[in-house]
Amino acid sequence: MVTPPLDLAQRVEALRSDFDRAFREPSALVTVETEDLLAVAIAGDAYALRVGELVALVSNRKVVALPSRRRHLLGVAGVRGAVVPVYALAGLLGYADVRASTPWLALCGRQEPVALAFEQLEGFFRVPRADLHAAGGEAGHHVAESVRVGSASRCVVDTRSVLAAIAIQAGAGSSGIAKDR
Amino acid sequence: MTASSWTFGRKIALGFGLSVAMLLVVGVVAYRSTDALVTNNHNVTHTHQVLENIAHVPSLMKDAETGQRGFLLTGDDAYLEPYQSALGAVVKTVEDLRLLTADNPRQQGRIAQLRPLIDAKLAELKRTIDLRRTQGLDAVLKVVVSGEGKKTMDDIRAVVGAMDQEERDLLQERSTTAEEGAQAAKATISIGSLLALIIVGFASFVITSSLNKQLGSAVASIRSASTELQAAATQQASGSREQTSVTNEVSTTMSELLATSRQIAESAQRVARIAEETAGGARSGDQTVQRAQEAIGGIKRQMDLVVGHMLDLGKKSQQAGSILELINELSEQTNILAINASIEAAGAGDAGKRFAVVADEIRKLADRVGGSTKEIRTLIEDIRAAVNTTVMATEVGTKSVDAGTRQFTDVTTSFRQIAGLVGTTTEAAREIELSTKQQATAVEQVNVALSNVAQATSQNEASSNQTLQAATQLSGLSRELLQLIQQQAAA
Repeated sequence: MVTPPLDLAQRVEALRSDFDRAFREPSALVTVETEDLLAVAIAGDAYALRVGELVALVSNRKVVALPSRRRHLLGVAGVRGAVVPVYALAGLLGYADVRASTPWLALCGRQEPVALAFEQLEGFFRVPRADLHAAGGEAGHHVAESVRVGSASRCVVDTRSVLAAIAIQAGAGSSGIAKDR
Repeated sequence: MTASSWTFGRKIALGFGLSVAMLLVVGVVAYRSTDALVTNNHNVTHTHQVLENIAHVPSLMKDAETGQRGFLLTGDDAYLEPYQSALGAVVKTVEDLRLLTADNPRQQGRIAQLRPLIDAKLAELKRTIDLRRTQGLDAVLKVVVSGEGKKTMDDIRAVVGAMDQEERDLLQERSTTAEEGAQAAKATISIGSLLALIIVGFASFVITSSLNKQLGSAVASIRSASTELQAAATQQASGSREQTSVTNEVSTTMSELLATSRQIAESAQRVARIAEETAGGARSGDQTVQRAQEAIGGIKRQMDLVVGHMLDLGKKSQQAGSILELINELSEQTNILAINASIEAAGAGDAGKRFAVVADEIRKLADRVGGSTKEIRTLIEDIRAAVNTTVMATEVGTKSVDAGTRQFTDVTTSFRQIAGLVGTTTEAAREIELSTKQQATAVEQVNVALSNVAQATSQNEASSNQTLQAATQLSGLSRELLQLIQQQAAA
C-alpha cells in the first residue's frame, strides 16, 4: 500500500516558517503554568516522567550486571563519564514481569544520579499543570498524579519517591554489603 | 418292345393306318372299277356314234336315189335337191366312219369296200340324171331296168349291214364287260368296307382298352400332381406376395439409403471443405503462433530487463532505507538531545528558558524529521513491497511467459499435428465422399435391380396365380377325365 505523495515542498516551507517564527517572535509571557513530560511505556502501560525531575536521557547504553542484593538493580552503566547504577523502573513500580529489553535510561538525582531503565520512549509533550490530577487508589507504586492526554490517561511517575525508595534500599543494601564483607 | 408299351400316337396311328390301308384298297378298287366303267362307257358311246354314222350312210344314199328318181320322172331340177345334199354328206360320213373306226382293221377293210360302191352308185345316179337331161326318159328307163343301180345299192347295204353287226357285237361285248366290272367293284367295296369296319373296331377296342388303362393311371398321377401343383402354386403365390412386400420395403429402405448416401456425400464434401479451411486456419494459426512466440521472446527479454531494473530498484530502495535508518537514528539522537537540552534548561531555571525554547524547536524539528522519516520509511517499505511484488509478479510473469512459450511450442506442434490430421481428415473425407458416391451409384443400381426384382416378383405373382388357376383347372379336368374314363370302363 503506497502512501499518497506528500506535498514535501509545502511541509518544508511550513517547517522553515515555524522555525523562523519561533526565533523571530519575542518570548511570550508565560501566563499558564505548564509541565513538560516524557511519555514512556513501562511493562506495556502508559506512563509519564517529569522532565524537570530528570538529569539526562540516554539510550542503548551497555549495562554491566553486578551481583547485588538490591532489588531491581540491573547493573551499572557509563553515562557522561560517570558510572551510575541502573534500576528496572518497571520492577520499582511494582511489576513482577520485568522485561529484559530496556534500552532507555532516565538519569535522576543530581547528587547521586541513578538510571531508571524503561522499555520505550513514546514522546515529549507539554501540558498545563492544571491537567495533572491526583492519581486514584488503584494507581501503583510511586505514582501520585496522572495526566490525560487526548482520550488516554497516563500515570505520572514520582521519581523523587522512586529515588527515595532506592535510597532506602541502598541504605539497607550498604549494610548488607558490609555484612557480606 | 411290346404292344402294351407303345405310345398313344403309335397305337392310334396303327389303328388309323389299318383303316387308311383298307380305305386305300377299297378306293383303288373303286377307282379302277369306275375308270373301267368310264372307259367302257366311252367305248359304248363311240360305238353308238359309229352305229349312227353307219345308219346314216344308206339313208343318205336313199336320199340321193330319191332325188334322182323324182328328177328322172319329172325332169324337174327341184327334185334334185336331196340328191345334191346327199352328195357332200355321204362323202363326209364315210370319212368320219373311217376316222372313228381307225382302231378296227376289220371296219377299215369294210370302209375300203364301201367307198367304191358308193362312188359307183353316185356315178350311176349322175349318169342317169345326165341321160334324162340329154336323151329323155326312155333312155334312162333302159338303164334303170338293167338293175345295175339296184345291185350296187344291195352291195352297199350288205357292207353297211356287216359294219353295223360288227359294231353291235362290240357293243354287246362292252356291256358285258361293264357289268362284270361293276359287280367286281361292288364286291370289292363291300368286302373291303366290312374288313375295314372289323379292323377299325378291333383297333378301337384295343386302343380304348389300353388308353383306359394307361390314361387312368396317368390321370390319377396328373390329379395328384395337379393337387400338389395347386398347393405349390398357392405357396408360391403367397411367397410372391410376401416377396413383393419385402421387395417394396427393401426398395423403400434402399431409397432412404440412397438419400442418406447422398446426404453423407454432401456432408463429406462439407467436411472436406471445412477441413481445407481448417488446414488453412491451422497454417495461419501456426504462423500466428510463431509470431506470438517471437513476441513472447521479446516480452521475456523485456521482463528480464524489468526484473533487473526492479532488483536494482530494490537494492537502491534498500540503500535508501539504510540512509533513512541513519537519518532516523540522527533524528532520534536529535530528539534525545533536544529532550536532554530541555532537561538542562529546566535544571537551569529562568536562565535556561531561552535555551528551552531552542531545545523545544530542535525537538519539534526532530519530531517532524522523525515523522517524515516514518513516512519515508513507510514509502520506502511500500516501494520495496511494490518492488518485491513486482519482482514476484515479474517472476511469475516470466514463469508464465516460459510456460506460455512452452505452451506456444506445444500449440505450434499441435497446430502442425492439426494440419497433418486435417490433411488426413481431408483425404479421408474425400475418400468418404468418393466411396459414398460409389455407394450411392451402387445403391441406385441395386434400387433399379430391386425394381426389376419387384416387377419380376409381381409377374411371378401373376404367373403363380395363373399357375394356381391352371392347376385348379387341371385338377378339375383330371377329375372330369377320370370320371369319363371310369364311366367308360364301367360301361
